[in-house]
Amino acid sequence: MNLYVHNHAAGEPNHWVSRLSRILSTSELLVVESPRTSPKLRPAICFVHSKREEEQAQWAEFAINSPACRVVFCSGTAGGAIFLKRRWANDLANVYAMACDGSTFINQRLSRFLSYAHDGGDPGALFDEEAFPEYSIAAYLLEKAEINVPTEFIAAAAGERLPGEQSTADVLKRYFPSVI
Amino acid sequence: MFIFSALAPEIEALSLRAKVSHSWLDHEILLVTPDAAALRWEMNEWQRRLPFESLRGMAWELAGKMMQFSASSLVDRLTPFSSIPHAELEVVKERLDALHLRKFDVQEIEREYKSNLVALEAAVDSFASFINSEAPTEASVRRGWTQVRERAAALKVLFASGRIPDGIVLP
Repeated sequence: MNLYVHNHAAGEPNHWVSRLSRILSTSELLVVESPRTSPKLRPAICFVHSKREEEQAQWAEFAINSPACRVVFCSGTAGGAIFLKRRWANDLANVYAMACDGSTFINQRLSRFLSYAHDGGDPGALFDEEAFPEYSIAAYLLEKAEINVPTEFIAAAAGERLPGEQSTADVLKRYFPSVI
Repeated sequence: MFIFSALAPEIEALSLRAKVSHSWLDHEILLVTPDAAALRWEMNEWQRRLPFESLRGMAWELAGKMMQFSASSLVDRLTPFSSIPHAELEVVKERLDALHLRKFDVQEIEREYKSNLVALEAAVDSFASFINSEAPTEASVRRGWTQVRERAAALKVLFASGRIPDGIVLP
């Protein structure tokens, strides 16, 4: 499996996609920063960071014609991921959108991702595995609005924690790291 | 339930923000150096197409949507809230908006954003007019483009500093 990174932030070394590209380059996998699709990319996992709709469309078409490839649309924010998922990934089995911000991916999931890339497995589980913690957010917002939080919200929110997360705030940090 | 389906339809301000900050300011202006601008001029690219028009309208649309960064935007999009009476949700939204306004002086941000946008548009218009109507030299193209980039950089500060948030802001 090869890795390709379509990095529109290549001129910005501190951008998280540039960091991702550099980190992936230290793995034993072949990593290429490529601005466009190519038959030579197959099979590959392609991380695509592009705000341009026409480029995103080219990658979606590439995914349709390349079932052995995986295309991962990247966004640095949960909002951007929503947008990308809705636009491209809902209808295509081998297209994903980063459900978390890029730094979280690098910090928490990269090792699992590299295991997948080396050993096989379903990368979809890695990108889409988390249910969005709706109850955690709903409970948090009600509390902030000084409205009683229904007990079922509290119980459901507790069920949304991942190992190591002690509180609702920890859950929310996954999605809103800069504001908690 | 994933975030994506839960929050559809998209929150427009987030999409507009990405397009204005990245597609317009970064990719069409700030990443184009004066050298690259001079090269485009030599290749007649500026004369064929000035790459600013499509995103200008979006930049103005964003000015009117700054409150969409409030967490109240999530209330209508999260499934658990469907079990709460509508009237109570309206109160939740009002209170979340009030908390947002305590953290962000939205009117002031809008004022600064519009003021910087007007200045950028003036620089862009001046550059366009200069390219099309005068007999520019390479040095003057570089100077004109540098002015556009300075205006774009001033507008970009609002995004880079987080004053225009990069996502929904929780209170």
